[in-house]
Amino acid sequence: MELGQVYAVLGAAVAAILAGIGSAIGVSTAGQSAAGVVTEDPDKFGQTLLLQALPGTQGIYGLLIAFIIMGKINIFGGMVPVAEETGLMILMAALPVAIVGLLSAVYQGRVAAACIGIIAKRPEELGKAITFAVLVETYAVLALLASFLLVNGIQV
Amino acid sequence: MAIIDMKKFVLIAHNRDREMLTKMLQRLGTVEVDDALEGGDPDGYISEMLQRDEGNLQQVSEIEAKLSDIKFAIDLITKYSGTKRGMLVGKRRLTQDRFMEYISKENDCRETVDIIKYLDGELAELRNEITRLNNQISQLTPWWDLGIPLNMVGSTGKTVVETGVVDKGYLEGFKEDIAEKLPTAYIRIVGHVKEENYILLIYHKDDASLMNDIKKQYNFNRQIFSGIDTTPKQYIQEKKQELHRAEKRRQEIEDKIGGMADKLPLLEAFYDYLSIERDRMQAISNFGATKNTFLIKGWVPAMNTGVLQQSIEKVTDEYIITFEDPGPEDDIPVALENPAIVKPFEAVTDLYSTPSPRSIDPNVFMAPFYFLFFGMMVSDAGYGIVLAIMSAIALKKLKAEGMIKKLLMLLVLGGISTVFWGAMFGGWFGLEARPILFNPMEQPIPMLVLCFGLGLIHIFVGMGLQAYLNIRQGKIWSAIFDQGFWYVFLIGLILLFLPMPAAKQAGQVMAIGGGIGLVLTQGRDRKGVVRKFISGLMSLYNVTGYLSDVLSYSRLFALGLATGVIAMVINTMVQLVGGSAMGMVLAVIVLIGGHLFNLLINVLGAFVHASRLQYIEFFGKFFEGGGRAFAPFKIKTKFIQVEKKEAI
Repeated sequence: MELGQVYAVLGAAVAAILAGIGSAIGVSTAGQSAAGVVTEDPDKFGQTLLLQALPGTQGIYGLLIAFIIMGKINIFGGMVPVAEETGLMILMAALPVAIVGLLSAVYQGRVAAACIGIIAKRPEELGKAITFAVLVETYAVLALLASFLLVNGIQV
Repeated sequence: MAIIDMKKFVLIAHNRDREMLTKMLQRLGTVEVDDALEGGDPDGYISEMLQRDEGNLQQVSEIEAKLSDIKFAIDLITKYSGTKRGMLVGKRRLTQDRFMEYISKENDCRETVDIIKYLDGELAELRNEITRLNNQISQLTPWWDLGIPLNMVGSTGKTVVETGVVDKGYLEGFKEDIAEKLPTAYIRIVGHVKEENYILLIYHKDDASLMNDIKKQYNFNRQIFSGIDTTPKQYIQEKKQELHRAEKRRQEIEDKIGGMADKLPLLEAFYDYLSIERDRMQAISNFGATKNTFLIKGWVPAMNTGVLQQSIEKVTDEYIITFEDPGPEDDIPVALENPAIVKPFEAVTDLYSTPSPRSIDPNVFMAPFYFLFFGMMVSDAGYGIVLAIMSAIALKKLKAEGMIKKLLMLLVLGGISTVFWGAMFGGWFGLEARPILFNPMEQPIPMLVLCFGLGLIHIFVGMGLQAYLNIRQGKIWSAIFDQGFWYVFLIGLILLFLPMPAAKQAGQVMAIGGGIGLVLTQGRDRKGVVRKFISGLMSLYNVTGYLSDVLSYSRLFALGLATGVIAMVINTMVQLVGGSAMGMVLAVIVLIGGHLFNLLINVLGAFVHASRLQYIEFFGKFFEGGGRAFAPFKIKTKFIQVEKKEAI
């Protein structure tokens, strides 16, 4: 067991953990709002569900980077040796999606919750509501891309 | 492929033709009826003569009462008959004869509604009774073992018989005190629920005051029963029988209501029939009326004026109709006309905003980009096939209309685009096949260049549309300054980054030329040379806006990546669990469930992000929303669809 491998595994874990936590919080925030609206009007289940699902993607982005790291160190078929610096680099490369994923999901959850309020009063404005929530996600997408390009560029 | 031209019309005809003409207009479904008494006419003499037909509003509310009764009956029957009517179920198709047969049975319909209302009343009573019985039973259940009729609780000649509740904490002390101070008293614990102990006390009347002290000390809570002359056990058994009977009766009534499911088609047909009539009455209440004539004001698509006139001719030849082009003040309703292949994309624009009547219909320009972007973001050919087929089946099964139909069509097209990009990038259910173009996972930079390139084209088309709008409004200079110079400047900047020296040189010239043009013109609204120059210079800062717009298209890559990688994760998991028989079953579940989940999440993502690229990056360049959708006066039904409209 080398320290480099530990760092790399930590990188994968951090990406999945932080982004996952963020999505869990975001989805639950939006879900609470959605439940309130559906109490009044059960027909709005579909529209509110759509908005509730939006902060869920960050967790998937985190998992995605985690998986790419796993592939990189070949965790399923006997780990390849990883130098200490390389391992640290992989850990660093995981940080964009981990941290931005965490925070953007939490805040996207809040926007989604507010947008569910739009659906409560003006269900015909779904398009605008989605747009507000999706604007937050942009930065998670950019972080995902940064993490991907970084991990992809590191030679093991 | 554009916003349809609208004409204002005013139609005047005799009252005796009103019924027929209104019916005809409703069947025709191409005119929007405005309030004739609002807005007025330039001279004002016509408006002064017009009145509103108030009788119609009365009728509208009468019909609405009937409608809500029928709706109530439909809901109740649906609830108790177990017929599932999902949100996405298509309308019942009826032939004209069948429909006529239904609406001739008004009495049958009314009778059914009355029966349902009566039964519902009974149900409500039964529900009350059941609640009451349950309360009585639960109140006496702790006294089950009392063994004496409850009317014996109270005073006899010499003794007091009492029932009451003591908390667990006080029980021991209570018992000890009584045993010590009043050895002649009888105490029995009949039962207990949680912390509460139910107690029977018998003591001599002379000991009452002493007993009262003890009772007070230990919080003895006396319970009194009145009007019951049996033991609790008998009483509860009796009530349980009553409860059983009530519940049976409730079940019977519910079954009876559910058994009326065969009346549903009749009720639904009638509901729609009445709602059509209500719509007609409502339209009439917008007409202007004089003693012998009526006047309709409204909108009609310019191309349908001929049809409208012919249809009126068929009803009567005593009428006047005038058509007029909309003026600058008019609130023109917006209807769009697009080829069938573009129609589904209208759903995306509709979700955002109806275009302004004086702007352009963006759908035809937006459609190809939406198509490409959606597929790139799902980017797995296998998923594309599944998505296209599933959506096509749903489309066929549901006989959906309107928005849902457009969205399903959009998914079919999106699926096709996904197959295309999946083949380009070599993704088939997460398995890597030979890509036609390249594999983005291995070659991320060319992929990013592709995304930015498509994004740039998208943005340039948006700017082009704004330029067109400017030219159409006669602002040719605006088109040259605000879009033309930006084109030159941006293209110049891009050329600067190309590795070819010739392109670099050309880029330099263009960037500098365009930049100077922008500095000189962007401040043209300001006063004073200095202000003009400063705001011109500041406008160059907008280049960051274009930069972030272009970078935004990197999501095409990122979301495609998400689909591919998660699909690979699923496949890896399946390989891990495979092996034994149990493992095989698990593997199949993970395989199908996992890929379906991934498909669902990514289709949602692709839909949402492809829309966003239109709303923010594309529409932001030229689109003007806030139009009012054309709402023609037509036959609207909820449950049924009649094959020939003449019946109505």
